[in-house]
Amino acid sequence: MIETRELSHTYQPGSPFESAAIRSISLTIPDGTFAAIIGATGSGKTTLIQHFNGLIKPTSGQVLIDGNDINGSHADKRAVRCSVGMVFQYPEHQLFEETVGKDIAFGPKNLGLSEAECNSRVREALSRVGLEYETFAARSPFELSGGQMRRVAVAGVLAMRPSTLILDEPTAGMDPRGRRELLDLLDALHHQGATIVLVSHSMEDVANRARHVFVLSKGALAMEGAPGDIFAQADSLRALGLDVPDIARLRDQLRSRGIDLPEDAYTHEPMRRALAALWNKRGRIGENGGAAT
Amino acid sequence: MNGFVIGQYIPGVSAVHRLDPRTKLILTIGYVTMIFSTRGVLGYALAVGCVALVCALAGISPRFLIRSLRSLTMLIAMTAVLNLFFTRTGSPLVSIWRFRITDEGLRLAAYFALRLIFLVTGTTLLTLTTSPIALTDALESLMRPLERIRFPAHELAMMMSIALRFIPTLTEETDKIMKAQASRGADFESGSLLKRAKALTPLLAPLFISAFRRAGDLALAMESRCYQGGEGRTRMRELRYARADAIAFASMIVMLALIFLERILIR
Ligand SMILES: Nc1ncnc2c1ncn2[C@@H]1O[C@H](COP(=O)(O)OP(=O)(O)O)[C@@H](O)[C@H]1O
Ligand SMILES: [Mg+2]
Repeated sequence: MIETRELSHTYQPGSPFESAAIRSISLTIPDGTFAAIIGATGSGKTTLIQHFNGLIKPTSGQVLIDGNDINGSHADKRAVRCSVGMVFQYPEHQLFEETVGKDIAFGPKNLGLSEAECNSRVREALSRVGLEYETFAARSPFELSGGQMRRVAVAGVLAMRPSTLILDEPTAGMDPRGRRELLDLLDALHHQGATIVLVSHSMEDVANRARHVFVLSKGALAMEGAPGDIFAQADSLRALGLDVPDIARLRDQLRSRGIDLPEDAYTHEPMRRALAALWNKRGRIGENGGAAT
Repeated sequence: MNGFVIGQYIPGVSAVHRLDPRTKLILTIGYVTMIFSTRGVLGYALAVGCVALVCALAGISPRFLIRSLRSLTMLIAMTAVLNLFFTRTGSPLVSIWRFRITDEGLRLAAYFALRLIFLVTGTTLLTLTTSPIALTDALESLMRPLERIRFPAHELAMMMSIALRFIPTLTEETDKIMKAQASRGADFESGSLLKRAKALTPLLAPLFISAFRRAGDLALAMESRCYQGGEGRTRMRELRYARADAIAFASMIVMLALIFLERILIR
């Protein structure tokens, strides 16, 4: 479980460049959940998540992992980084080894695992991200395509078998298929019990996958709740420079014309069901409803 | 990066910021000449005056400026100590074991420490109030006459401004890659020197790759905007001297004249 208490971070305090990136954020991410963090660019998402495995120290406030203050005097940073995996934005920029296999083994090796164990972890991680060990393990990471490089980088974090996985805009710049496959992988990890924290700009991705949403604005926690509750507040989200998923906008537009749709019709499946039910009940929508203008 | 002030630039619109960068560059050279050629206290008194005036005009707090000296404490202390113990001339004040501290040694220690302090403060003030781009513009403009003897002034200035432009980008990138590898259990801080040097590979390899990628992208972007070198290239910001520049130059000339007089009078 990740908890923050009144967490604040100021970059370069005491200089003319001083900037408060996050302010007094208190939140709880329970074990096994799929949480999403959304917010406009510069709202402090990256700063916030880098506290979760002790990469940066709070200016004030606390970060607790399973109840232990990770910046306390008895804290073991390495143990924290082992259990909380972090996939950075554009993680392919961190690849450095001669071969894909060696690069993925970097994390496990740092954990002090045996050669054999490292190897089996590389195999497992590669297959998780949908790359064949035989084809890819011996290749140089720099001759792969951008999408494949990203998968290798994600595999490098998965190979440490973290119980919590944090991803900073992992789908940025990916094609639709790569995107879907990566999100499906997160879903699969979540179903196996991992905690997922996804930082995303895509309201669709968040609506479809997350169980709990945190909305940041100018460094403060502006809203939090189930995606249904968050995406019911289109106006507030727009005021924060965000928006609702297309389906939620469609729902709101249809509702404003008198068509009765349930609250949860902000993703494809519930919307399809609701529309099908309406269709069956009334014959053709709009014939005697209020939709025609 | 935190707390490192030397070489940073604080954007602003003060009279000091608006001064022609060439003026500021030449004045800094004059200032350095002044503190290095003074024999008495006059040079330092004038230097204090200059620093105080620039701080006041530019709205820079002296405390912030003093912080810039912190990273040089060791160097300054070393200079003072060496002068203190290894000056043989002058009349002895105290003697400890084989070392003798003379009044001349004390004077020299104070002089060299002060010189360093004023040198750093002055040049820091220059970079704090002049953007790196303005500074390279000034350098290019001042070196322009040398182009007659085939000195590549434009190319040098362009290289400098590109390098300066990419310092923050690369610092950011270093920070990010370090954090990413630390997340995978890398340890940059402990172990023997050899172990630490080895631990740098996961940092340096991605950094070089990204620097080369950026260089390639930049070359392409410059070429696609028809960059062909300095010949016939006009500038967006023309440098022009104004009244404030004349006043600044005049004050500097007066101060240098005073120092010259002081040198003649104090033998
Ligand atoms: N290393 C840094 N030094 C100084 N300021 C920073 C640094 N990183 C981020 N900031 C500032 O902190 C704020 C939040 O940034 P960030 O956490 O990256 O936001 P987001 O990830 O939501 O785009 C921004 O205003 C940004 O300019
Ligand atoms: Mg970010």
